[in-house]
Amino acid sequence: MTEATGFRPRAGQREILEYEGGRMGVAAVPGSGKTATIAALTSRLLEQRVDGKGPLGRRGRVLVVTYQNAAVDTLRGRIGARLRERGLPATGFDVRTLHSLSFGLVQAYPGHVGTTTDFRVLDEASANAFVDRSVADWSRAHVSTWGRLAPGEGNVYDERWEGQWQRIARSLASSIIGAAKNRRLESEAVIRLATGEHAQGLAAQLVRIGGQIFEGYQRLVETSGSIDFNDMVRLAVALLEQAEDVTERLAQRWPVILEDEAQDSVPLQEELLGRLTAATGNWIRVGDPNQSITSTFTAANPKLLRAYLERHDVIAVEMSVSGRSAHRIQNLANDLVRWTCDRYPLEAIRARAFRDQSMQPTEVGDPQRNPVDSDGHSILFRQFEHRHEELLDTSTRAARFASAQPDATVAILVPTNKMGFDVAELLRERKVSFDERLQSSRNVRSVVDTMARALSLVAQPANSRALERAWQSLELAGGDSPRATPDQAPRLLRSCYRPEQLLAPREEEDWVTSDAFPPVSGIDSDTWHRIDRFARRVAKWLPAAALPVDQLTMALAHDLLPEDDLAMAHEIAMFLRRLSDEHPAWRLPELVAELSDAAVGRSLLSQPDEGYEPQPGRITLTTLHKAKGLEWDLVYVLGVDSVEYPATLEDEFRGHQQHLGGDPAQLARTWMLNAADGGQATLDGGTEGRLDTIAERLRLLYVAITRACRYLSLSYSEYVPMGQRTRRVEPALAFEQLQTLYQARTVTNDKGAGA
Amino acid sequence: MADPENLPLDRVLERLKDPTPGNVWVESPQGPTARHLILTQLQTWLGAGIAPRHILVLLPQLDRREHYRRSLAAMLDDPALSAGVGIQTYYGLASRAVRLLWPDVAAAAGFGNPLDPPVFLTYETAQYLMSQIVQPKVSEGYFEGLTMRPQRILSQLLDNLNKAAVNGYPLEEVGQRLRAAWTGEAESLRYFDQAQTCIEVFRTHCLQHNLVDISLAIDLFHRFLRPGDACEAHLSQFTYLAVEGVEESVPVAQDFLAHHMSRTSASLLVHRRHGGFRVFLGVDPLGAIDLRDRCSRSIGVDSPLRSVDTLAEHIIADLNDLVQPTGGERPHAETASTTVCPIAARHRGEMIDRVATQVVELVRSGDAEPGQIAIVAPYADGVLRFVLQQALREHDIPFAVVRRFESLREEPLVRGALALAALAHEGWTMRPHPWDVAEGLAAVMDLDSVRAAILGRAAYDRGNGCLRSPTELADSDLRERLGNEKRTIYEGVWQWIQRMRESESMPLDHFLRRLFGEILSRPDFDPAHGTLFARFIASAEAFRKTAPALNLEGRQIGERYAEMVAEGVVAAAYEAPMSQAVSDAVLVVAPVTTYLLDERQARYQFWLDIGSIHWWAPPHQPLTNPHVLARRWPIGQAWTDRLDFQQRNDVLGRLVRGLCARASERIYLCWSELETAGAEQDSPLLQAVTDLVLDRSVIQGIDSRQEGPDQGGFDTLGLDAVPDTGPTDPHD
Repeated sequence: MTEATGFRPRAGQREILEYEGGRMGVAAVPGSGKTATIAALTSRLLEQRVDGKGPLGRRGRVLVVTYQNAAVDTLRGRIGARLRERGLPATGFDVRTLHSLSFGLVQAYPGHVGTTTDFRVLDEASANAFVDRSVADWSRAHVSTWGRLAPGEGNVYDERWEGQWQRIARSLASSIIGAAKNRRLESEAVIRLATGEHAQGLAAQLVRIGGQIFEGYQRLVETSGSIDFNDMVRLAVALLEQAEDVTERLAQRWPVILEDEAQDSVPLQEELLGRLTAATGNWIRVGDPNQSITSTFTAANPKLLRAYLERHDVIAVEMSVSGRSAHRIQNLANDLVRWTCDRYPLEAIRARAFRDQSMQPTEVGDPQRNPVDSDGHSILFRQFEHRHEELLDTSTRAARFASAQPDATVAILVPTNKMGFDVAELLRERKVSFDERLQSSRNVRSVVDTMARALSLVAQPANSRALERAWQSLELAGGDSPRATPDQAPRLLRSCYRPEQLLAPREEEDWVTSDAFPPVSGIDSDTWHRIDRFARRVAKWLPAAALPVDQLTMALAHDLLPEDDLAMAHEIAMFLRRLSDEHPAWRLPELVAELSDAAVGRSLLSQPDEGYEPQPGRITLTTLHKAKGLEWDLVYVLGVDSVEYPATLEDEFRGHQQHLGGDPAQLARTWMLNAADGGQATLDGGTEGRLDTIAERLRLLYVAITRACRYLSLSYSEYVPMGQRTRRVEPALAFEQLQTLYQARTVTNDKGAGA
Repeated sequence: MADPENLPLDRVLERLKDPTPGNVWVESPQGPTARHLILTQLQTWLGAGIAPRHILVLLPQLDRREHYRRSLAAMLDDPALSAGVGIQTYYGLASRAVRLLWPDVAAAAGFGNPLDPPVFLTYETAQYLMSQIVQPKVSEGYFEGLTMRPQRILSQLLDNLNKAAVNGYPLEEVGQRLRAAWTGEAESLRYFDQAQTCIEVFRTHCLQHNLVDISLAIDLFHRFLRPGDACEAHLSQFTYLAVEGVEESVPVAQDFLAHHMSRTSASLLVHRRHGGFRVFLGVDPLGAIDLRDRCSRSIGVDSPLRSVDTLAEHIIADLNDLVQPTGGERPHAETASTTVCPIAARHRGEMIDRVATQVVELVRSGDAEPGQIAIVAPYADGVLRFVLQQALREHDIPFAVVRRFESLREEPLVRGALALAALAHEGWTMRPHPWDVAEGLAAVMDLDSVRAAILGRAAYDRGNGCLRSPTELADSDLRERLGNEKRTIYEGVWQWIQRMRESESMPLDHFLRRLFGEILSRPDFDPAHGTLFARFIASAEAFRKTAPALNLEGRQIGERYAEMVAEGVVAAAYEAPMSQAVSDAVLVVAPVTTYLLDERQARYQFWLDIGSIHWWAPPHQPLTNPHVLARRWPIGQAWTDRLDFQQRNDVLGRLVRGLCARASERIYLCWSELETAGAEQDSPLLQAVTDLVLDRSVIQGIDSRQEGPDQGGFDTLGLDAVPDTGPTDPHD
């Protein structure tokens, strides 16, 4: 097949581009050109539409469903570009996330599913707050129940256990709520499943508790007129189930559905898209089962895509050629899969962790050839004595690389946000510029901080400290360029003793800016000029105090923030709105104080989904999970030890409570899902949960390795901080195995070279 | 009757100058023509010596009554005659009759205390009463599983009561109709049963306690009073009848008209073409057309197709195509495209900025006077108002906002007044928040927020729940910071509040009236705030009057009311009347129907957020459905998605026609790809204008990365029927 510029289909891709209709499953290895293939297929289907041929007919559109908002923009851009390349207008297709698709459906037909057009979508922080409230309510009413779950002989509970229990209950509730909603189980059904003679033991008790907290949570959600993310998809599915006309019309509109990142599909997504394609059968699911890394804490299930690929009515296609990584790195990733599938010590893991597939290098003539292996070591396995050394050494090396190779990209991948914050501090100490992709990352904190400072002036307009904070908000928002010398303005503002003259000067008075301040000398005219400008600008904010707090926030955000940060501002607005609804007696000062807490990280604000492109010469610091979908020339993977990557059932699992069967949330969820499927209630949910964790951490390591194009470093430390103490840990089993396999290959290659 | 004979306006007016008795039906275009026709007819009748008390004018909205009176007075040799003409809405007529003829109806209708006078409930007090009934039911598990704010449940229940009344069938039929039309899960049928229980309990409670809500007033008039002799005698005085906007009437009003027309000497029914915007409130435009058959003459006012009207025809053709695909050419595409100007942006904030810039440009360039510009939106949120306000103020461009007020507690003036009420009532236990006190002082002293905060901090003694005396504040630097004038005003305010504290406790609404009359009202007091405050007083008064039926008495009434405002239970939500907007200002109005029910026109219209689903609002709510509850709906017929889809397109088509009819030169179609929360915007309206604006060179603000209007193709809307055609689309 001859293709236009920039895209030459490889094996596998060609097969996909010949798609004529029906169900197709595509297993695509990392770097195999999924996006380009989706763009090319969409383009081809739309080309066929011109003549009324192909599955779209003359009027149908292609619906592309993907996982993250960031991917929507990328896909839309790529498809649009591809169509223009082919001389077609960039129309005829829609790109949606699961949530935006569901949101649109529910908003268009709210009455069918028991809501109204003005329903609010509960952001993650608000949903967490409702879970917290429900946990608190439940805990108050059931002290003896959770008291009896305390560790130790006499189940003696104290404040420490109370705090621990709240955390456990939160995690338990979130897990049960997410899983239940994905199975379309209501709280009553969950409680029913875990009640009765067949439901004995700890797991059933945890499910009952989770169900009761779910009940309280749902009441809070419904009476606030809100819908959480899971509800939104659940309601969309219910709508399609009930309203055949709607389903039919949608199927006519979108005769072909392309699903990207299908390995992250949750059961409800599968059901929604399954219903939309039920009439046409034209459903193409693209994903990599080996990159499923969210199944232990979301309802995503890698088995779904694997099962789809094995269905008899599905054409399964492999996209196994990848030009992303150098051969050694590609081989290492393949070794991880092969070793796990063939020789992993736990037999249950062999079939569970990976789909047995391997990456193939590109062929001669391919526009994206694999990078050439360097002469030296392109992969390093490093061991440190103490964690601090590992972080310090890595940040030093990464900074050096970024500086020495300004055209190359480099990333530090950390398993936890906590470790990420430590690395970030080290990088900051060294004054190294870097992009932070951690939970509550600097950018989020910065936006929250900017808004909190701006709002504090509206809340306390007569307070000189608030004036100073408002000045800082403008600085944070980029309103004033950085100054070489210490700025006099903020300190001067703090000394302002007549803010009313600064912000609301009386027209009749002969007045100059300096009158608002005590007599001071040595202030240059530029500073006065800037203060004057500042005062005029912020004075315009004050009338907005009359607006409800969410609208006030957005009005200020509109003045302060770049458009790209407005989505985050909206989250802040919703956060404040919720607080205001919950505390009718609070006014702006209390709400702003609460937001300021959030600014220092004491309250949760989720990181909005955003597009990110690694910048050459600049370090990316990211968690392993947020690294997915990205690639760098050099990748440092830190903390590859037995705590982060447990290998056996006896290993220590992060966050596990031994006396509660390991991870109570996972235990309960596994039990509930099994019971809902009519399985044996006696199933050892603890073991299942551990096996799932082991498998998913292996896939996470696979994702980490396959982010690297040219160089890769895997490291661990023998002594790591655990709470207040330091303790010794082993390297991850996979670390040792990969090191051995890598060395063996190197020796073989060396021998080969010598021969 | 055959279609009316179309004549130019001046000839139609000529005919109305003929006082020959009989019933006349006139079809008029949207806009001021209808009023013009009615006034001419009134002038003729009064000129012919008909006594004003024999004339009844029925309007769709009471808001327009004063406008009528003033205009009529200006036309008459004896302006005083205008005062005697009865100008009413149908509800006004009904409730007036209930008040007058209460003894006739009280016992027959089953009121518990027929010898005691009735207490009329406002929508808000009805909502409060309903909340008292619903809350215990919710605790029992009612409405569990519905995702709605409690206020929405209440408003839908009241809607059901009102729908039964305006359609003239028994309350018991409501649940039956909703159940029979439901096509969803059988499990959800329980909600209709629960809703039915609530409205029946509500009605019983009203009857027991002599409470008359809107639905009961209409029901009493329709079922008990009108058939009776006393009412017949009362209404028989109106031998001349004029109706403006008959298409905006509800079925029981049409029943009344049909009956009354047969007894009048003359009637004029003015029907505005393509009207009937309030189907969601129960109006029946089709039923209105039936009244034409009862008229002896039928005339139409000519309205030639203008280029702006072609836009409406084009969009409606597109919308119809969604229901019944024809694939044919759109009418008037070329002409229509010349009347529109798209303003598109990625984010909503950018869109608002661009609209502001364009408005400023139109005014500054001299292309338009501010009063010739109207900005309409489904919802005028704070960001929209704030940004437009800033931009227009900066250029000294006058503007007026007409919007829906959602909740009393979100109004600083209300919070401030309640804070002052708490300070002025020694017996109240409530201690107002310092923020509210500062707002109160800002309002009564016309202070900026900075000085209000300074004064509030110094003057408010929260522990004792009072304001410090000017003497106590003498040592502070307040005099310098506030200025002498404000300091003197504070002394006056403090003394006034002290007098209130020391005087005998008075009802809250009395206090608010005095606050307004003696302190708050100033020559420069914002008229919009005046309207709001009047609403607030009316709300407090209605609550006081209803209080005994709610087991509240004495001084607890005022404080309880204040608490309920703070909790958001008392909302007093209302749509501000268009009459409050000055005519020489840029008009910002939401929702769209508010604009359409008025006759104001604009050279330039801006339609905001055309990608918003609120342009295509669903009639079907979880507990109610205006179509299924309409009299003409056959009980037992299923409310299918296809019907739902068709009705929504029909309503949107009416809105579009109504808007186009009120624009004379250009319409700016404005949308953003993302709404405020970051969700993608899409609507049939946006889709329907797609091909008109497909020429990307005319779209402001779409960068090369974006796709233009086609990008947002999410569609539950059946846009499968819309081929991706356009002047540049090679698919064809």
